[in-house]
Amino acid sequence: MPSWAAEPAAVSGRWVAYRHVARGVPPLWFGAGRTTLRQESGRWHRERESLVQYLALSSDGAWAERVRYEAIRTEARRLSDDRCLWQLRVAGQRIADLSTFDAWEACGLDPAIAVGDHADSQALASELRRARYRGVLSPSAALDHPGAVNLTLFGGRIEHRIHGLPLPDEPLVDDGPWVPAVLLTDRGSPTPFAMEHTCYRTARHRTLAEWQATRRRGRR
Amino acid sequence: MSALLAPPTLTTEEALRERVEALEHELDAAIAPYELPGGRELKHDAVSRKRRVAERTRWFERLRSEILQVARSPAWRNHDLAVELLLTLEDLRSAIEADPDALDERWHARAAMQIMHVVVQAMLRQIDHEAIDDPAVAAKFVAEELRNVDVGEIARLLGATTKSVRNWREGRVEQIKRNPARITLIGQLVYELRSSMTSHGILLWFDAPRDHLGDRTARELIDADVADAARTLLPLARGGRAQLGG
Repeated sequence: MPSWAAEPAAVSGRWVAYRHVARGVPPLWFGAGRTTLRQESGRWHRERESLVQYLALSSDGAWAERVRYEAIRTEARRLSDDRCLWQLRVAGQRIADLSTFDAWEACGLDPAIAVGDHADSQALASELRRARYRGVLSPSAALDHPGAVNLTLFGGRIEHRIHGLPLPDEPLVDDGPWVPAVLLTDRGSPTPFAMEHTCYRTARHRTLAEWQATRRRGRR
Repeated sequence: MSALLAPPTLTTEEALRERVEALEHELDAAIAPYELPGGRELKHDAVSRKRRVAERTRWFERLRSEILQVARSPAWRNHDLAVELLLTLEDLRSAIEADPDALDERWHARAAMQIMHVVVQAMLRQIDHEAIDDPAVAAKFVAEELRNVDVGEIARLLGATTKSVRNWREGRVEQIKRNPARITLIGQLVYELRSSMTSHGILLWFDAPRDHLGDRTARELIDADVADAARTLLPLARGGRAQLGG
């Protein structure tokens, strides 16, 4: 039985999303078998069990993920980072809308899972997959800023690299795994804003704390 | 004998790497930025169709032959990646058979080729990792990769003398007797990190305290126990290749 009291709203849509990767690494995860489909565990999947696409809905959101993962705390480290940043046009159906802490609460889910330990969100991800959701919108654990949202798509996707043109509104081929992608930089560093607003792994998530304080005040 | 008549003899490993690289170039060319085929007339013109189909057949046979050479080599014969490569070859064959006009309008052949490209890149990484498992290769690799970093800093990181690092930079690598496991681990880590940060950034990576490691640094973990450090640091460096939900 799923852990939610009410099913998360299932939304469909198109989003512009951002993702950082090392040079030489494709912007999306796909592969052919046991070795190439192996993706290190993250918030919404366990290694060897499944494959997901971690995307941020803002470029600062993507950079904050980088800052948080690498624990980048100094200007020297920020400026010596040297990454690719991709902009992607993503189309998705039946995406679980848990994009706000209010939405988590409305489903009877603990909003702290959104930004807390991965074990809880990985378990929730398994439930979402079983309920045939194809992805999840959730508050960013890394970019501690009101309204910062990540989009995670379940399953493999393949990039359709766009050169010399703006990101198209939709994929050229609409029945496959294709995601139009524009390389914004192949030698980029996280922005100062992203570093300033990153919630590091053992730190308190201020946006969640403020939301909780507002809820407590509302109950009085 | 003239030098021109005596090309350098390739070792098996070098030959194998060259073969896989050739395969990668072949796929790179095939999945070049997509351009819409010519107008309606060209798409359905019988002569154009015949030429497209013939070109595709020749290309596929060449690719198949290269893949079979790699998959049959002793190094890859029993490897998971060789199986993946052969499976994607079959996917590509199915996509081609389902597309008699050689237009690939649903991009099925293109998808198979991009997946094949990922498999080939994984093979190249595997070859590199296996080479760096040799401390002499690792020492030379780190010294070259961090060529903009002070020799003393590299020597301290590797647990070697500055004289050795200077020799390694000049390609003179003797047998590594001092700290071989440490040098190999650092070589593998530098290999993962080099596509994400500058050489100065790599050095800073080793000295950055990490909250989830109890504020310890990578260098402190390596100093304490190389084998333990490898279990923590290699997945950390690998996980940094692409964005994960934090």
